[in-house]
Amino acid sequence: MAGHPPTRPIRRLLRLFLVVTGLGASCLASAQVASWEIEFPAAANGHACKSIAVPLEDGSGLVAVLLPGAQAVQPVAHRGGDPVTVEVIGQDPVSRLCFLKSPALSERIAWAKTVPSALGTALHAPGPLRARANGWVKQIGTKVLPFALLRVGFEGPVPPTGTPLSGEDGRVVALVFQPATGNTAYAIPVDAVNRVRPDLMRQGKLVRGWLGLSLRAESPTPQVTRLSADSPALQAGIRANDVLLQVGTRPVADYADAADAFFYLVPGEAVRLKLLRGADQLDFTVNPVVTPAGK
Amino acid sequence: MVGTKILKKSCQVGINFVNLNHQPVVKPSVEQLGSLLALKREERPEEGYWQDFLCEFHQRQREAAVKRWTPASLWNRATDWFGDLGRAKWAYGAGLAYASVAAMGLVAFLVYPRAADVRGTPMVPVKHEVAPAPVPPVEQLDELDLGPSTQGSVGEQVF
Repeated sequence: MAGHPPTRPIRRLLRLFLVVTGLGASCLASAQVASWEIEFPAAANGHACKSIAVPLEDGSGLVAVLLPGAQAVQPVAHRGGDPVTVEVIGQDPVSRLCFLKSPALSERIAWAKTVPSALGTALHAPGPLRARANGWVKQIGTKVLPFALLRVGFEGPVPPTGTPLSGEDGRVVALVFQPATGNTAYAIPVDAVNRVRPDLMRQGKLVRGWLGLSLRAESPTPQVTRLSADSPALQAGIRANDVLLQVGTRPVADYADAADAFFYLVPGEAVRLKLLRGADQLDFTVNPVVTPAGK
Repeated sequence: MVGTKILKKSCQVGINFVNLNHQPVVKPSVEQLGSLLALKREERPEEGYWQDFLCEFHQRQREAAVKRWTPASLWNRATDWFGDLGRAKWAYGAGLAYASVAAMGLVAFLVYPRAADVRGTPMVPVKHEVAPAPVPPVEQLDELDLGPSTQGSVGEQVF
């Protein structure tokens, strides 16, 4: 050993090279997730948009984000820079999610069931970019969103629309929607993807659940103002002036919370509602139905 | 004093202009008049007269400066004056108080508006309410669109 002093540094360099090469390969592999790029043409008086498409867990298709102003008609797709053919399965204007399928699709990506509830959760975008979930956005200014978005802060530039954000376990928990301010962006939670996906894959459109209870958007408390005739809520025993406390597993504190919770109602799937009537806390089980025509 | 001296001199020169009954006795002669005029020319005030005059003038000037018309001096003068009145000061004080009250009553009567004048003045309401800035209503977005021009539904929402 004493006669070959350079041997140990060479081995160390070789080991470091292998480690770096392995890390690069893994990064490339993860970047391969975002290698699907979809370009949607502009709608009337709109503009075209590009989105990263993410393969679904079962390999049945891809999901991309269709920004307002574009249309899901004959999108142009590239995989790793090469043009590929894709077909639109369905798109939901509420969530802006668009599901596609392609004969060139061979990847499968693991998706989470729900977004981790703890704020400040570390997230990972493809490549070395790190991010952190900062909170939920239910309302922007005076506009209440149809469902809450995740606010994500990045340690660098905001990645393009549709970029998947993974948790510590590597499962996708959100898709980048639009940049906000600075290095933050709004992201569509995986809960919304999981809610929309079955409907779009089966019927090509989202089927909303309907209870038939009314709330006023400007009211500070989620108080039921009216019940539609023959509605599931009325049949369950809910009355006007009851205050919503919880819908399913989602606590409701204001109107925006209620709107977010009602987005996840599925027709035919019973949901437990917790309401406050006077000083009494009441539980109801309501079976949502498909939204009647004209309502 | 000067006149006394002149009379003494005129007596010495023997001139009598009038007696006690204001009847002219003797007309003076020209020589007498000349002597009188000569005597007049030699007339001089006593030694130190002008010096005393200047001193007295300056003293009076200082006293006038001290006795200016300040409120304090006025008050002092008034109190001195009342003090000097003796027992009559109570009558003077009562009279002065009565005059003051009467003057104030007169001023109040003239200055204060009468009821007829108050009724005649048109009442103009003061707009004291501050109009709050119009708050845009809360909108429920039916579709996910973060654009600033997006319009949602307002009012009652059915879920």
